[in-house]
Amino acid sequence: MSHDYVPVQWNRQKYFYDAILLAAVFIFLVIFIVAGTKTEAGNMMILMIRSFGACAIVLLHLVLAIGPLARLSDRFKPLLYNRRHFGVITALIGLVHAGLALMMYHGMGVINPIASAIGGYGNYGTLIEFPFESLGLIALIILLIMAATSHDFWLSRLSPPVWKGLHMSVYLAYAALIGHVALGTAQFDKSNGLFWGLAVGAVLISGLHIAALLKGRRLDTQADIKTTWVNIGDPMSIPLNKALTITPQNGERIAIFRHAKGISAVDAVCSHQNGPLGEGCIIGGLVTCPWHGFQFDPETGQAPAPFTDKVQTHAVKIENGNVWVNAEPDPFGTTRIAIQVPS
Amino acid sequence: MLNIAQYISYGLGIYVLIGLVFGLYFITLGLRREALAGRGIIIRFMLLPGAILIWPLLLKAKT
Repeated sequence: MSHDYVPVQWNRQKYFYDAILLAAVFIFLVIFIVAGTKTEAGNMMILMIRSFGACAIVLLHLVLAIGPLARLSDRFKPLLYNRRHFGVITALIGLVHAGLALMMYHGMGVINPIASAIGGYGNYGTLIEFPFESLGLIALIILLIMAATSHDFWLSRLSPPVWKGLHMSVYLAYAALIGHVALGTAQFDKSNGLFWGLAVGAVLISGLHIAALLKGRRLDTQADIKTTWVNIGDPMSIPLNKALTITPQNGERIAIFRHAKGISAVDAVCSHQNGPLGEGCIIGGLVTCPWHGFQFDPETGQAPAPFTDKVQTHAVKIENGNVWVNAEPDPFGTTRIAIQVPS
Repeated sequence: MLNIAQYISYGLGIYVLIGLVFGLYFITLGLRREALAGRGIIIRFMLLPGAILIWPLLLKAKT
């Protein structure tokens, strides 16, 4: 482990995760197409376009739901692992949908298919004739850029703030996709089933994000702005071998772990690639990042030898039965013996 | 409207074409001094789509 770029290797869990994901995508497509031929007896090409489009939308909803779900409940944290592969498959499914649609509706004329799709017909001045394909193209370009830059190398090369900023555009892609589907169904699908499905999905995604935000803020509001000490509350409110994460005023997030030796606090940002250490757990006595498994001693903030990575520790104390953590980080390499929890 | 759409599609095509040339340079000569130097051809080709799509960012970082 070092601060330089270190490629993250494949492992059995990643293969298993991807196999399940690909199988689920395949089953979704087959069911959609088979059901479509039985109910509508429609054109196979149109069914394929719709099945890949619907699959991409469902996958994007799942991608957007994983983050807040993992913050709300530990049960969803395994899904956080390898979430990037979810995004890559979403972009590829969307690309197939766009390719088939371009061939079917815009590939037979003399006009460049992309030009035909975004301006060949329709009227940007009215909703009912709005060329909804342009919104789909915007969403697809964003998803492709995100997929193409999802490799850890790009996170290291672009720097975490730039990479995260780039990948936050998934919400712009989601908004464009909602517009694409809403206008498309309004113009061509009179049943409106997809439209209402998307509306329910948008409400669920918004609700999950708001719930996760509120959960985070509940802890953040405990910061005592008069001093640098933050009241965490009852020691037993920290799950064993896991952390509570707080964000003090004008400070970096801090992860407070309860483990076999007691209570320790370290910066909640992994020095490898800014992973969420506070969402990790204690394995073998070490704080373990959920992203790539980088580990740190909770008392020293140092990675086990021979690795040299470090995160900053924070002072912890127990007063009147409450845990307090100092929002000011210690200098790198400072040892803070874990505070014993009174029995 | 069609004219503007055609300009946009040509613009996208030119952007990708420049990206392809830059990307091929990036994954071959450009990575020599990176941490990936000496690594396999598969990982280099995995990075090619990214280099094609975000070449302005990479160029900006270089200058």
